[in-house]
Order: sequence, then structure tokens, then C-alpha cells
Amino acid sequence: MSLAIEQREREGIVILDLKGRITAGEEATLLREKLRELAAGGMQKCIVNLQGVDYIDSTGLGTLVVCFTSLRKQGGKLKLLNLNRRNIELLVLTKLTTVFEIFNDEQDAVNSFFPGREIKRFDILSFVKEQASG
Amino acid sequence: MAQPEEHGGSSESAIVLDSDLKELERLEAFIDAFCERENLPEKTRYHLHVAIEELVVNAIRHGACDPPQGAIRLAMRMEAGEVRLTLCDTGRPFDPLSVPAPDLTASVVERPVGGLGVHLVRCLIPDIRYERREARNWLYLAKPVVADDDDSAL
Repeated sequence: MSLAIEQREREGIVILDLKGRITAGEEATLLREKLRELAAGGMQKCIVNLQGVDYIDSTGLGTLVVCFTSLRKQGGKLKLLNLNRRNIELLVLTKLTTVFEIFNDEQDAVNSFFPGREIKRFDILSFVKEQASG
Repeated sequence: MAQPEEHGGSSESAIVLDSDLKELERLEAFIDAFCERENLPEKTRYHLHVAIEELVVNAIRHGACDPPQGAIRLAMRMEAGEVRLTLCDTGRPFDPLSVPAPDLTASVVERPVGGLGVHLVRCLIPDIRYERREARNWLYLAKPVVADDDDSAL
């Protein structure tokens, strides 16, 4: 049980590639501290890539919300990328899909920071329909 | 460190945990082993992981179990197509069913950060019963096995 965070940048946007779990304990603390450190350094645009995250618990969800609101208070934005089906279901159950901007494509997530660029957001209705149709 | 208690001859498995977040790794392995033994569908396994780990984390974080050693016991068995769970801890009295549902329609700034865990448990486990007995919290949970292609439940 661990969380690895790799940081890169694309078009001035910080992208955090996460691998592991975002759960109560060291994992959630590590993510919160990483984002706090970046925000203190002036970061305002961040994409959290959850492709390698197989499990998020309520503490992990709470951590993402706290980071989202903290960044927003200082004029920044935090968006989510590549949630797996299970993690999307948790966001649906907690209605956090109405809070976060979610993307399935990294370029779309990057483009969303630039007004005028075409983007395709994650469509929760399509997701639910896909689940219903198997 | 507490050791798993395997009850041979019946389908019940049990584990005793210390009140310590480091125990979550053993808990996860225990749930995995039970689900593997019972050949449970992936969706049911996931729901069990989420619900059980939320409840155990609550007990560890807020229960103030004293002493922490061996403070939490989880037993799992199959019965009538359901996973039956008994979770017991020595922490302060806490009935998760008494927790009001969080306001999930509030703006993100107004939303409470806490309370999501119990909400998830109640979403995923339809049958939950609580009692306070012998200075312990007792939770009895029944989780119907959910087929992976059953979209009536998340």
C-alpha cells in the first residue's frame, strides 16, 4: 500500500502522475503535502492523473476536495484525469462529479486551461448509459 | 501483532487488528483472501473493500481504543447468497447509522469533508445493524453478492 507521485509539466501546467492508492494514512498525507508545496510555490494549474490509482477511499476523496478548494482560493484550478470505472463510481456516489472537471484525455485536460481551445469533457451521462448497456 | 483467526470447518474467517492505520495492509490481504476463497465477483470484492476499510478506519481514527492492541475484530462468512460481516471494536460508542447523510448538493466550499465514508458504506451495504454491548461497538452487515454485470448496484 503506497502512493508514488511523479511530476511533469506540459504547456505550463503541472501534471501529477499518481500510482498506487489514495487512502487514509501516509498516502493521502503525501498527496496533500505535495499539492500544498506546489501551491506555496505559486502553482495555479494542476492536472492530477489518476490512471495508476486503483483505489481511493473517503479520506482520499476528502484530500482531493481540500486540495481543489485550497487551490481555488488562490485563483488556481485542479482537474482530474483518467479515473478508472471504480473511482468514477465513488465520485458519483458522493456527487463529486459535480465538483471536479474530469477528463479521459490528457490533451483535452490541458486544452481546458486555454480559453478557445476545443475540449471534450468527461460525460457522466454517457458513462451511466454505458454501464446500463453493459 | 495480532494474528488472523481462521475457523476451520465453517466458512467463517476472522481477523483481529490493532487500532493502527498500519493494520490496513493486513486487513486488505484478509479481505482479498476471503473473496478469493469464496470466488466472489470483482464488483462485490470492491464494495466489501470500500465499506470495511471505511468502518475500520473510522474505528481507528475516532474510536480512541484503549488499549489499541487487538481492539478490532472482523468476521466474514457466506450465508444465503450474502456476505455476512460482524465488526466489533472496543472504541467509544459510535453508531454509524446515527450519522446524518451529508449534504452532497452543497457547494464544494460548504460541503463537510467528513461523513463521506459512512455515506459510502450505507450506499454499498444495504443491511446494517448496530448495537452497543459489553463495552464494544458491534456492527452486523449483510452484503448480497453483486454480479459484475449487475448495473442495478454500482
